Amino acid sequence: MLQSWGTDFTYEQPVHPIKVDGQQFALPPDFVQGLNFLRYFTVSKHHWMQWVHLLDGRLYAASNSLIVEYEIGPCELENTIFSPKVCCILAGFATPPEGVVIGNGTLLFTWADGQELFVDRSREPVGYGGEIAGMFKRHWTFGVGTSIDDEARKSLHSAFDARGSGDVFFDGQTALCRNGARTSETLRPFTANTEGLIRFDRKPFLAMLKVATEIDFAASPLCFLHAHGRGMLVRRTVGRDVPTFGGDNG
Amino acid sequence: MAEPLDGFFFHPDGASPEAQLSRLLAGEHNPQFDSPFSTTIDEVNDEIKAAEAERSKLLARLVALREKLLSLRTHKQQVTQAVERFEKTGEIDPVLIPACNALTAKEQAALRKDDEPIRQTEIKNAKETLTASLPDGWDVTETTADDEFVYVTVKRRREVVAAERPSRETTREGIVEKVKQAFEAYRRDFLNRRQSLRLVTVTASPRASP
Repeated sequence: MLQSWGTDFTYEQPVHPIKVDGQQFALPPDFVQGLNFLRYFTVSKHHWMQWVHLLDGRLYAASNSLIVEYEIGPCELENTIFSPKVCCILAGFATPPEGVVIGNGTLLFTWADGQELFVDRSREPVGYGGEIAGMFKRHWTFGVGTSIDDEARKSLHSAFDARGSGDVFFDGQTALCRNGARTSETLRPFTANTEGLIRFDRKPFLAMLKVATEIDFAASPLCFLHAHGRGMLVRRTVGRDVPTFGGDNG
Repeated sequence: MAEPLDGFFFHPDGASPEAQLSRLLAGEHNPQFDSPFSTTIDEVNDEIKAAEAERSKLLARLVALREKLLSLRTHKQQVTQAVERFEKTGEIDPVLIPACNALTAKEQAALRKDDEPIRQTEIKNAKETLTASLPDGWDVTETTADDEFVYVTVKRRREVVAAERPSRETTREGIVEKVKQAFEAYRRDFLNRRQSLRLVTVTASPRASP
């Protein structure tokens, strides 16, 4: 018979606590929220883009096109990586863990009520991701942003959300989506702070658009702010085969 | 530092020389990841690799021939010694028994000769039978036979002939001309770029002699 747990459920440790040798750290309140936010930006099966990275007290997820940073507040944790699976499991708990014990190839998340989550990381790589934080140091140039509200987000998503690959172009007044075969174009009026023609891959652009609140289209790479931090989206080379801006208006 | 374009860490459309040249022809080249001469270098490297592989193969064959020659000379020495022993003792050593290659070939040829008229008749009959029963447009072009089977090749012209295509050389000349124009048009994009050419060198095999 299925049981439904009410809100008055209290956890009782069924076995003795897991003993892990290592250093104990307190976790910032937004830590799990950040992991869960960033796991959607990881690239599955890539040797280092599949992880959420903790670097210098900030969380990062990176693909070749898009890098997203998440501010988690003061954090004493050393640089490390988290698999999207662990992020997902941590997000499944009713409350975020209050601390973590980092051992040799192990993590033990602990909750105030005695719950514990043991993670064996002995087979996970170490030492990747330094290049990600360096990208922000070298290329972050957020100047004047274009605000993105829900209406603008919805308008672009409904116009550009299609299967397969494709490109998104902006010329300052118009947003244009071209399919991967370069046979059709979809236009939407959209004011962006760019004077020249700029091009992005459609998929990472739409992923960015889901969370961005302010975008500096003039920056290269494109810099954006989201509710919990910032991010960068790389431009594509425009090339000679530019869109006609005369496709289906729909 | 130059702004990253197309990808933060690598070019999303691939790093092969063919991909780089295709991007150059489309005007979508990225000097951070691409080299205009990667195809040229790759072609030279391929030719060097092919020549080295052929050289290694021939060297291995030469080594085998040397070994065979040494073995045959040793065998000849054994035969000479066996002949001397025969002259002294009358003993016929097994090495004195010949392989009889010439006589075997002669006898085989004589056996085949008996079958030859029958084989020719089979070929003729098969050709005549098939020619008579083939639909219009079909022709018998070649007929052969071995000890067991007769083989007949028939052909007919295609109903829809393939469209005339430019020759491989004509196609190549057209592409080379486009590449030349692209080199001229975009040469400045690759000058003064920060990233050095990632040239792939072919290391000489330590076993290969010059």
